[in-house]
Amino acid sequence: MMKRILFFGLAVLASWVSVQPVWALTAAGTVIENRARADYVLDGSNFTAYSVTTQTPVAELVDVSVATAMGGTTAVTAPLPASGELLYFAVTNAGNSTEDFALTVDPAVAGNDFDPDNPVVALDAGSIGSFEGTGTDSIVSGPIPIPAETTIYVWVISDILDTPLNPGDTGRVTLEALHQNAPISTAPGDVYAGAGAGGTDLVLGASGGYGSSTGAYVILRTTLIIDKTVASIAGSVGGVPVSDPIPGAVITYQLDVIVSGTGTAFAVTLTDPIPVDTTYVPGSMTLDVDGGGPGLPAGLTDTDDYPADPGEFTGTEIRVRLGDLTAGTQIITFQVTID
Amino acid sequence: MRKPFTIFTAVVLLLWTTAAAWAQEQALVTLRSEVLREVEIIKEDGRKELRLEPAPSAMPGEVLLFRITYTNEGAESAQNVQLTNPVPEHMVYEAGSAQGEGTAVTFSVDGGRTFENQAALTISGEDGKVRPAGPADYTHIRWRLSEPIPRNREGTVSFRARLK
Repeated sequence: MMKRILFFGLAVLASWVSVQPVWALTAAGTVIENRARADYVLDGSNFTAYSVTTQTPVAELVDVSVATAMGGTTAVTAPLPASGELLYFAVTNAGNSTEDFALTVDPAVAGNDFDPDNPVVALDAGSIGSFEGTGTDSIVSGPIPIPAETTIYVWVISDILDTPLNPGDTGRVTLEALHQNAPISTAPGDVYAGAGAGGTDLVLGASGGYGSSTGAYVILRTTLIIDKTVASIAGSVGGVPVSDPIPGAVITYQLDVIVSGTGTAFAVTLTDPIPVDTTYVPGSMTLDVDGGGPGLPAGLTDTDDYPADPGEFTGTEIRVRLGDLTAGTQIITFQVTID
Repeated sequence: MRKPFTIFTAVVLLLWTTAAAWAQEQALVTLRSEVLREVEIIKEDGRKELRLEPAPSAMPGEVLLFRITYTNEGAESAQNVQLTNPVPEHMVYEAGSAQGEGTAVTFSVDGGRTFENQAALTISGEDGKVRPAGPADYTHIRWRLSEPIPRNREGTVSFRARLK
């Protein structure tokens, strides 16, 4: 019984899939013609009759959608004030005719921390997904035509003012697309008789001829502080331990690498020269991982075998490649002997 | 010898043609074809009702109803009546939508050359393999009337199709 029910379920699913095919839309202005035929017999003779041919023009369907692309969030890492900060959007004409759409940016989105300044829209005309300057990806002014069932990609380019802003502050912009071929209206299902291609009706689809999507700029700033201290001095005079910096004493240095704020400090490498008149104690480097720095081993070797081991003693300095760090503290220690 | 024979043939043909034209005038089955859409009407008591209205235009994705009304305007019954309608270009037949009282429905997937019951229809796929045909493959619909159409009698058949 279970088997039968499961099979039935599959059959229903299969039929649903088959009635939801993805067709290319029939172009606006196409005329659908139909003529019926009758064949019959009368007194032993065959006759044929036809209906007149009906003609049904295909209406112009106006439908548009806007969506953020490439994540919809841009991390602003440049010093503020910053200019030329990019967001990426896809605008799709889901209708069956070329339509003109006005693309406008609204930087005053309620409930965010700041308004991106002076936003403009540029068409991604060159290599898709990479910004090649407004010489190639030129700024859009006025409505732009989008062919039927076609997606175009645009950049929103904004300046970020230092008002001042803090790490984590978010400023949003909304890109809006509004059709230009119909009287101003955004009600789905509205029909404008005779306003479409070739004099056919113009019909507003589910979008009502209007689409919008909101992207965000997030201020990402990290601070990185290195705090160097002498953790201990261990000497010996006549077999008695002393903590004075006398020749032969071992100094343990501690370096705290402190990352704070939002975002990531990328490719952090710490170097520290061995002080004059001291000698590095081979194999004395340690790393205590506290948050951040994923995959860093605690024990460090003196050899240059990155990335297996981030530590290295070059002969004149110690070097630790910490990689990408988010907020947290890494503690590095090493020892020298006073000559 | 040839000339009289030719004239004779021509006379016979002329008589036959005239007879046929006369018969057609006397026993005319006429067809009326309509393109309709279902519109939801909310009545005064708040109930919803589906009503058929003429479709002056069609939207991509819309399902249209094609209704064919046949009328026997002649003096005698029309026999062996079959009605044939292509699935219009740019449209896809809606499964199970062909209706017609007292008719047997068959479909064609080869442009109207042959007609079969739904279950018997097959089509060669792009890979050359024969597979059962689906509604999207139908090119024509045929209704065979089980009874003659008496004079002054009319009836309807219909089907639905979706505009691509």
